[in-house]
Amino acid sequence: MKVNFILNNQEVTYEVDPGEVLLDSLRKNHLVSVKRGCDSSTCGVCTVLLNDKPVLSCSLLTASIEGKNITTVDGLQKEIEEIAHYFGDEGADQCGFCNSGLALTIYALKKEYKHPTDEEIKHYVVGNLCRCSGYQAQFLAIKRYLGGAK
Amino acid sequence: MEIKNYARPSSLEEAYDLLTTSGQNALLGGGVWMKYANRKVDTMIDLSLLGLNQIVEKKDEVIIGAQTTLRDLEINQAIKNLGTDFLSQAIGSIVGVAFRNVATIGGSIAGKYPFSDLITPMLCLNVTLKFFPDEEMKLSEYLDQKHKHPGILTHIIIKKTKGKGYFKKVSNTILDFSILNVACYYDNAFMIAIGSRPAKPILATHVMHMLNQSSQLTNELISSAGDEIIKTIPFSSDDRGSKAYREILAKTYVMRGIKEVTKP
Amino acid sequence: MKVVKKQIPSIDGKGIMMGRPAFTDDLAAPDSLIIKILRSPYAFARIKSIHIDEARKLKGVELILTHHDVPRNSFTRAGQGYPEPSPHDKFILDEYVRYVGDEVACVAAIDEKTAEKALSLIKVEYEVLEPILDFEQAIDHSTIIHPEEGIHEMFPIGFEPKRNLAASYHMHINNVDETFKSCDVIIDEVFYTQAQAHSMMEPHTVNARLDFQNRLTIYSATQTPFHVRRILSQTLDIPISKIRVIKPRVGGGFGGKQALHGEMFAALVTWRTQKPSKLVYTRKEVYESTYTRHPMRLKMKIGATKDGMIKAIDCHVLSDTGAYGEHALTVFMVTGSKVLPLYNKVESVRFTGEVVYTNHVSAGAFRGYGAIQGNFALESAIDILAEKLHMDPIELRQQNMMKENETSPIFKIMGEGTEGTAMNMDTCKLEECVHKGLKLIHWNDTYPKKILNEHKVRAVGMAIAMQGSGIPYIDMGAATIKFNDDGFYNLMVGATDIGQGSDTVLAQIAAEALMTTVDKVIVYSSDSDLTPFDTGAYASSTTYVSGNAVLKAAHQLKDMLITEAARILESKPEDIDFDGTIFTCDDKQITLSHLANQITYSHEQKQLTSTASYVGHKSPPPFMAGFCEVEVDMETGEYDVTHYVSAVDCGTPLNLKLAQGQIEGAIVQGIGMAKFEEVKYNKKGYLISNSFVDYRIPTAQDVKKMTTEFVESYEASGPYGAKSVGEIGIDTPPAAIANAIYHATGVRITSLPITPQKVLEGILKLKGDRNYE
Repeated sequence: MKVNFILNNQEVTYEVDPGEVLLDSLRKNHLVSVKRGCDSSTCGVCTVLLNDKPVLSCSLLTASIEGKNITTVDGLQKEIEEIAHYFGDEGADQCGFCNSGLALTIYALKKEYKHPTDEEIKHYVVGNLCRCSGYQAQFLAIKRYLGGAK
Repeated sequence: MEIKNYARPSSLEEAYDLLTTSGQNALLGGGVWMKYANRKVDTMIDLSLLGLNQIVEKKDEVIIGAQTTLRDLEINQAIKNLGTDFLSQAIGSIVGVAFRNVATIGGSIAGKYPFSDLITPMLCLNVTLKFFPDEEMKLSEYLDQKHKHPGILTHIIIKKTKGKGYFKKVSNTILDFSILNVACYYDNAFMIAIGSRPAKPILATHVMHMLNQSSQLTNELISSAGDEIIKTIPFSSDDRGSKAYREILAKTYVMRGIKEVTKP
Repeated sequence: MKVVKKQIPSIDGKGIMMGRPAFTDDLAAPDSLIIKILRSPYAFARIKSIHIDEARKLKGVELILTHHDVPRNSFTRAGQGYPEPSPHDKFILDEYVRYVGDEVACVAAIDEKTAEKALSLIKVEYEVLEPILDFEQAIDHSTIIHPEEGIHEMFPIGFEPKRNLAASYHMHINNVDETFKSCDVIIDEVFYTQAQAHSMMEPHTVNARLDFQNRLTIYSATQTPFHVRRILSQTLDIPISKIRVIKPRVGGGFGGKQALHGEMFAALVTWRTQKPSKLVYTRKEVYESTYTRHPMRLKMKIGATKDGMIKAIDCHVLSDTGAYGEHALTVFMVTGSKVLPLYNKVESVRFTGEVVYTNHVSAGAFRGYGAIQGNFALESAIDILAEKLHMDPIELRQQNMMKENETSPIFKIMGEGTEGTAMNMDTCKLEECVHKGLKLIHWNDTYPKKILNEHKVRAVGMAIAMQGSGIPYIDMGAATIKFNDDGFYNLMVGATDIGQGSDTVLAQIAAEALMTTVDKVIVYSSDSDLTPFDTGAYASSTTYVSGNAVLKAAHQLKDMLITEAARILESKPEDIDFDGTIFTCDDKQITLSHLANQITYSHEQKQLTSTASYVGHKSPPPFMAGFCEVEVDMETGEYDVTHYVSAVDCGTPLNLKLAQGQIEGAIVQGIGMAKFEEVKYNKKGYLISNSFVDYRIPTAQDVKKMTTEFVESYEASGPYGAKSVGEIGIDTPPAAIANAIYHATGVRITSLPITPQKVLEGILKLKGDRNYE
């Protein structure tokens, strides 16, 4: 079946199986920045933005996003570069596998909360698992991106 | 998941027709646990055109569309006002934001998950479920039903009250299923629910009765209530925790919950 | 120093976050055949018959392989130097399946749906056998897990498969039993550590294709591309010159990718079908069918005199290597060799043990590599000893622990599978690390505990640790630096960046030596055709071994450049001044970029490259002291690690933030192992913990506060004074937390993980509650 939606500000049409999830459709269409990390809707590396809100692309049927707005890091290069800059400064980027999904979550956090507390920040990104960094350097990078850190 | 057809009906009648045409047809309810269902579906029925993802606050109640995402529910002010934020806090303890932006309240309730951090606090509130075609029932009644409900859950109606709530999820990390969850609510009367025992959430009716009958809330009464929890609520062991451990957790957190919701 | 020790962001973080294709599956050929593996539903069984005709007939199925269809050469999947210290006990596919998830057959089809359908059409008749699921029952059990012919050790490691022994080892220095007789205080404890799963974010994945020379090109998420190439060649009987292995960006390894996973199948499928193929593990397969940490039982007996001198340590280990023996001997030996030397003033030491086969998921390499298990046992035992001696645990350690310029006879005796290398601790700031950590955690304000309210107690605990920096005389790393027009460099290294930042750190070393900036040193790594050899990312070897090779190569190239400049400026090399950008001799000068363009295009043209190799003659250990503060709920046993302090001596931290990241990431993995991570099986040997929902790893909300500080030493044998930092961070949390919990509650937990339930059961037992006997 055909699904029409907006991907990174461009109108696209994907030919999909009804049972196909968005993650697979995107990767098939060369958007490899979106990654698969688990089979249980738990790890967050597949995060994309749906109408500016972070969602798990592994848990959405592509068929269900007809007419909606999907954003990956590929469509937010300038903003993601800024986040990457703070990550690099804090040494928060190690293997990088979780970073694209996390970056979109961080971008959405800044849009949704004006002045999040430390707890609110951690609560917002908790669904983006990372096994490399221990989270603290990521947290410092996020605070700097949000403009709150010294 | 193998799905043959995908339908997006423009009315509840159309949706219901499709649903009842075949046992192989299913409602799309948030999708997060889809992968666990090794199912073959004939027609997947997407209800997104039916406007069931709104939260409407009325004078005495909050009407929640079944397709409302858990995240929308979590940040809604009317929901935050219920029980001093305890329901919102409970929802916020479910996995992560990206998960909650996909999972729906309808899907979470229909799943009747025994570890549900949503259902436990909801049992403490006055919750009515509305189905299509015409039917309403209380949440607890729905949870007790063994068979699959033939209708479509369209709305969840919560009566507004001015009580205080308390919710505790015991787990190793936030992404875990609960080892146990406890909700307490007080609005001139106590409501206490315990879930993930590991069995499904239930009201601690015996203990509620005991507390609500007394004229004075003493430390001895609270302590007895704790002991009665162990005596009257069934717990068992699984690889998350032993029966004995769950009993102590339940007793301890019910006691703390009672104190918390009755703090001046 | 201008580049080393400076805050340099990683050279690749930005590009990866911005979404450039970088990881193995991002680079798969678009028309790759999809490989799926049929896996055993039984913990131990023999395949009586296997019928693939129906599956083979399915449209879109290209190839099906069973144990009848593959070369019968035994090998080890372990990525280690050759000859490997792990037994060659694995066949590509075998008549026996030895754990739930073991490989039964391999299907290659045009898409995933077809491959899965084909799997379901393969008919297998199993003879179900009695599995061994308790490693304490494995030795001489009536079940023999490896009864087959054709398996062998590469050199004596104590391999006795008929007894279910993958390896064994014993060593002693003097006579512990005699020494114990002269001790005033003896403690004798048994500790258990669990299997831990790496849970790296990128599932194992590999793809293969034939290039236009008809050579097999493998892209694999691996820590050891050169070992993969050798093992594929030897096992598949394909000439090694026909195989190329490329390691792209890897989404985390931690040892879990230091062994073959799907490479054998992708290689064989592509070699036989001549088509590109790929195998991407599901998360379930990662848990069920890759590797775990070795669970162990450690018996620790320590004797001391009443003045607090530790006289003898006797340690016996039983280690469960699961179905196959990857890393069996070497992990077990590190449990002794990188732990016991911490207390080097003993009179006698004994370290013995066995590594057994069971029908569990195969255990293998995992950060710490035995040291974390040994550390939990020893550092818990030291606290137990301190109490029995009525001594402060810090004082007991300070009196007995390793200090700078000292040594331990254990270094000479115990290597990795073979003899070790004697070495002095030319750099050891362990004492200073302890002092620093005590201050940072405000030890004296809390020790042993502080009551916060009617049910909450705060307490502190600590542990010291050491690790190594590469394997002396075995690990070799090499680097080639190519000088380009306009005056920038390509740095080609075999060294394997798996996220720890080695590409960046090695670029820093080269840039420092060549007096340039990191953006002028372009790193290309881990391609068996285009980069020189490197054993791979393990044993904390990359900075020390590969870094030394880079340093050598850079110095060599600098000399070559100066020679060219001398020729152009008509003077002698010793009269040339070079600051990285300009060559000067008196009043003559030429810039680097002019020189580059001249020797590339106009006059006396030549390509300047330099290659250097390095093998360590010692393995200078990094040291650290780990301190944790916990807050315990005495009514439920739940606790938080509210502050973890790490004071680390890794020599020179070449990149402060990246080094800190290595420590912090490792600490959190160690906290996970201490608190709740656990590989769990049901009674039939089926893995229950096979998803992120059932196997929990720490989240952002579980990390309260970490303070990491470096106590610098200068290790002359390391590049710019560096040792290593990749593993040491993981070693201390289990003992530090166990010790803190003891101070808080009086409960001594000797088996990991330290769950709230265990803590509460201990508290109630102490209170005399009969239900918890």
